[in-house]
Amino acid sequence: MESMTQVAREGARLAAYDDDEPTESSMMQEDTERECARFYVDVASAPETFLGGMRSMGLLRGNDDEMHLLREETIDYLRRGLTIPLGASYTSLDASRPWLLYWMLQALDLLDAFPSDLVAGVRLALKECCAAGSLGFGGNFMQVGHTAPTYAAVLAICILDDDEAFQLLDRDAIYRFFMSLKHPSGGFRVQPDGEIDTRGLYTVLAVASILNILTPELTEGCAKFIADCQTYEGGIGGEPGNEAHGGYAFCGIAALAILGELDAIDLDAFVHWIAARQMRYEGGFQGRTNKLVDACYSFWQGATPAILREAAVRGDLHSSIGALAGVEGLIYDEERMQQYIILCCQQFQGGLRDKPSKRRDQYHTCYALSGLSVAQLGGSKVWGTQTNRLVETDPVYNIEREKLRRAKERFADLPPPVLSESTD
Amino acid sequence: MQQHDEGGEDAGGYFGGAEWADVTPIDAPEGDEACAQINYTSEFAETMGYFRAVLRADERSKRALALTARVIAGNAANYTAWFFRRECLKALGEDLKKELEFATNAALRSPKNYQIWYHRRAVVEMLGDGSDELEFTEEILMDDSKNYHAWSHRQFALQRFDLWDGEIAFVEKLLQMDVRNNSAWNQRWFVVKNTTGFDDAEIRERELTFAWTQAKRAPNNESPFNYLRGIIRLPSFVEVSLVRNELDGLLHYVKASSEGHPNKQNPPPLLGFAVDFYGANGEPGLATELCDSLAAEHDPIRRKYWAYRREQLTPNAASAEVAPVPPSAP
Ligand SMILES: [Zn+2]
Repeated sequence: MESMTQVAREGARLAAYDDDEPTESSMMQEDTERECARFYVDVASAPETFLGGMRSMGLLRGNDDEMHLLREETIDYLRRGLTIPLGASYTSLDASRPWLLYWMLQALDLLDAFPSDLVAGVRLALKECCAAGSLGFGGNFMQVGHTAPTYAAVLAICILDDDEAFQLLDRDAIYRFFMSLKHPSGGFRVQPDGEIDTRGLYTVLAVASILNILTPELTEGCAKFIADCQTYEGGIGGEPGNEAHGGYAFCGIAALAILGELDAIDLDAFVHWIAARQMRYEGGFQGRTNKLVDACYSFWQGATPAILREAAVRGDLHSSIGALAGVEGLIYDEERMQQYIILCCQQFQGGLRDKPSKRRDQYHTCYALSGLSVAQLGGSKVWGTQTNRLVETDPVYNIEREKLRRAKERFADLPPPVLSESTD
Repeated sequence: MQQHDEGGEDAGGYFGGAEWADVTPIDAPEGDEACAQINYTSEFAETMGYFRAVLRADERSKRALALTARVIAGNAANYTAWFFRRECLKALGEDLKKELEFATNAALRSPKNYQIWYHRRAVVEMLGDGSDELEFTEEILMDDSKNYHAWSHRQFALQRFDLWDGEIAFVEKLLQMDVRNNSAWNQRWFVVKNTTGFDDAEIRERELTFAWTQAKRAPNNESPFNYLRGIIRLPSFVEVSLVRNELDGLLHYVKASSEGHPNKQNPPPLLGFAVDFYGANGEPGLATELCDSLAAEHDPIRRKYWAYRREQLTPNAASAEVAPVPPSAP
């Protein structure tokens, strides 16, 4: 492991270089590197005032010179979000309650702090989000079914790993709902009258594969839809023609992994694109070419190399891309990525943020920690103190591997789904 | 009715008058042990209560339409309200041009919201008229030149209403403002692909020349190199000598430049493009050399990627490694 004293970036020189042709993009990039530079200092030669600051935040503890994840503070932040009503500013997430539940549960699970005392409370919240006719889940009480909250709710139920919570799921009704959203392009609408994009497709396939309702009728044309969304840059966009983007790239690759059709896209081009998204100075990932670093992409971008690596190791990829199996770890620099999260993205009161100039939220806390978990490679590459080690997440579904296995097992032996409502 | 659109309220509040007297609001469960609750303002909670009642009764009326606007003002991400709003618009045969204005104001307030943009697309589809869309998306993009939803909507309108004529000029205007705007580069590819295509040699030459001109302006800008990489990957690509001349020329030019920032003489996007070009066009030796220097010196954060590319470019070495060890001679 790299020691703390090596965290200092090359001679304190920023990586951004504008070729004497400054534009809005290059100026914002330079500002962002500068805001991270404050955290990338050489501990061995840092002034005592700086070290004192790191100690009072809890990043450094005692005489230890290893950096710490603010575990207790973050657990406290997440538990308060679950148990104490959130402020009125959260009204903008009123239609995303299953997401809030999933983000907080997943983050707690990764921190090995599953809230077993709150199972009934989470279950009740999810029950309030059930859409009419059991057609998936809505964003909150009496909202119409939508694939995104359905995905979040199903993952939350898998994390709960609770019999009663699983009873909220009506396989046949969810199957009918998904089939009603199927579009001739191979994609899915996110709701009966809604957009068709890579996100809709992934959320459907993720849920369907857990519930064992992944029929040929449901998956028809899916791989082609994703291939149509791959751009000349190698990444994947939301719709055919849209710019390659980290969130959609994750959805595309994870969906292809579920389908067992990773070879449906140009993987060489994809690997080039994903490797290029890690920021030279900051260490974290950007979502698109020439955009700024953001901790949530630690998962969205950081998970796809793990998905591809697992496929390469299994021997599922063609020869040229199969060389990924020979790479030591993932195709990006896992340590630098972890440094970005631990040094630049922790708020000292707990919780994590997009970048130092932003404030914490549950979404970034979930995905920063999920990205950290992927980058730790099952505990073999933990940067900072060893207690920073998180529970290992599955890079396709983003729930703990063991929870995923147990959830899938529940549905493995069930009969194929029934499309028409039985009348007898 | 008018007072609803204006949001004007009398002393009894929005729902205090006779108009809503027949409706019993459906309140959300609260005060239970359910997790992740939100402390709504009493106005928002009241509005949602009436909205749920209208939704349950499937009441597609003027007052319901006005009510959805009130819900959306409280939370523009409420996709159920947008969905029901469209149901009302259809049932009432509302003036869709006016609805577009509503969507415009909503998008100007929260330009990064999925639902608003989808709503706009749906209304434009119902209208069958996309004549305002280029101007509208331009207004948004002038403020936020990489807004993903705005670009996506613009692509929809271009394609659906065949509005391609001025789009290359629009892209060039944006690249003039910021040559690093990758969304504009992506748009250029989108336009070429959906109009002339890249099969014509003249088009490919025009695009290669454009991209090289921009690459020379700022060799540390990844966007034009990705565009060039897209072209050299096309099955129809044959302009090897054009690209080789430009590439050799630019590499020579940057190496000769005076000292300064380390990226000045060795811009990683340029070197990375050279790896792919040389590797695919008969000079793997040059390509692997560049992989080594990128990994060791110029782009160390991607050292694993460059080592992997090096492996890919030296198939003999790679296959020798995995070949079974021959049994020793008897
Ligand atoms: Zn983010």
